[in-house]
Amino acid sequence: MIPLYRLGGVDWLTSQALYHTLPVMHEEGVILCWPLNPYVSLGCHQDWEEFDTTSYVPVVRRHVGGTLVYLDSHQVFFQVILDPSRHSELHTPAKWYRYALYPVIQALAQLGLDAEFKEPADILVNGRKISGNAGGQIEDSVVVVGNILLRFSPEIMVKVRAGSTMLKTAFAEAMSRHLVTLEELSPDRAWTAPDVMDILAESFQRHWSTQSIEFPWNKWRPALETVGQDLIRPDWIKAPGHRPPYHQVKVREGIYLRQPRQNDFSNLVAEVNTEKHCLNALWGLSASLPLPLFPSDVDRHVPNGILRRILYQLLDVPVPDPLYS
Amino acid sequence: MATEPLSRWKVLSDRYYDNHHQWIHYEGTLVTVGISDYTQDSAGDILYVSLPEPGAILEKGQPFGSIESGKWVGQLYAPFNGVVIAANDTVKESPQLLNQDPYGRGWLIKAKVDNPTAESQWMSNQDYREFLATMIDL
Repeated sequence: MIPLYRLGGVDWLTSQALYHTLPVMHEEGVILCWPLNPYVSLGCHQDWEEFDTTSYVPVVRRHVGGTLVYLDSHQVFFQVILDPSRHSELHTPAKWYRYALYPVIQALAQLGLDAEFKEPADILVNGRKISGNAGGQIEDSVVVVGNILLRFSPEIMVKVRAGSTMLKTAFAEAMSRHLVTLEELSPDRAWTAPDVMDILAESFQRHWSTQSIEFPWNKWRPALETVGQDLIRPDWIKAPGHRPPYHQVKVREGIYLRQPRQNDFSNLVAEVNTEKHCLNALWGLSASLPLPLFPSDVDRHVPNGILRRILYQLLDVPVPDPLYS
Repeated sequence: MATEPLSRWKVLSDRYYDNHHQWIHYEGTLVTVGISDYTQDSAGDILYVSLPEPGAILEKGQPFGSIESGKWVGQLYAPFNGVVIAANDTVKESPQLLNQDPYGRGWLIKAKVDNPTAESQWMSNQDYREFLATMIDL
């Protein structure tokens, strides 16, 4: 039987240390909690340069994937830590995500929300993201972690993400369109973190037969503190990481904002749908282009030159270097 | 019941495999390590790979690097005790090579093995095919 720990509010570093510590202790579990103080969590391989250091928010780097997220007490975390040797039928990331997120999706469905899994790791309601998730192997365990948004401020999120004013403006606008919260979906209900924790606990109990037990704080605190300090070690936090040919911010699965690194059009920001391979929106461009803009449209509407090459690059269309062609 | 044909994943006969779906290939005194076709297929589009620097010590069973795809971070495990002689810089710059050519240009590290007879502990290509078959039947 998998232990379920209903922890409620915990300090910000503990909210990350928990799911990194259970694998060290060779323990399985489902942890439900939220951070009492706001902070930023960087993805395992994310470039430090993407964090806006002038935001003066505590920052941690996790060992699971994904991008920079701003986290606070209006988000309820679920953290699933499992021993893969006990779940031999789950041997791909896709299967782990589907398995671990099933009780969460069912919890949202129980509330009357049309929640659906969006590969690889989001949960959407009415096509908008309500839950972002990440996963991976930590020690000998498999971990899937995520949150449910009760309330979310795009304005605060953009403050912690490095980038030009144009990128931040575009990011706030895109998040407003692509993210959704419980408060927005059911404005008449006063959502609280304990309510959402109870709903999640009930769903994990129903679908996984988890057993709600007391968290052994006294026994595990030394390990939690050691692991927590490791997550904020300066050389770990400030590590360089994934650096695509453009500045990139993920909004939800399949939707990214991209800004060229070249000086010529450094104010240009594009919302890219990587599944449909088109540009949904453009900011900082004086010329008016039809939207959505597909690669086949670029040749027709954009004269040959640097802008055309940049638009192709933002769409991940290979373009021969003019110096060599 | 099998839902995917085994032939979906390429298995090369000139190398060994471990239970982390990594391949091991002897080239004289050097051993090259990479991920199998199954791993790249299961992972999906690989966006980032983290590899050790030359000179790093490999400890059998311990992570020596990681790969990220779809917000998932998978570990790369050392198949033997040894020392890293070279890491593939090209794959660090273009991680998609792991999807495109996992047995060729997508190699990960070249290393010297402490115990030159270590190959007896790994799977032959035939054993690995059988290992994959058991996974499909799950």
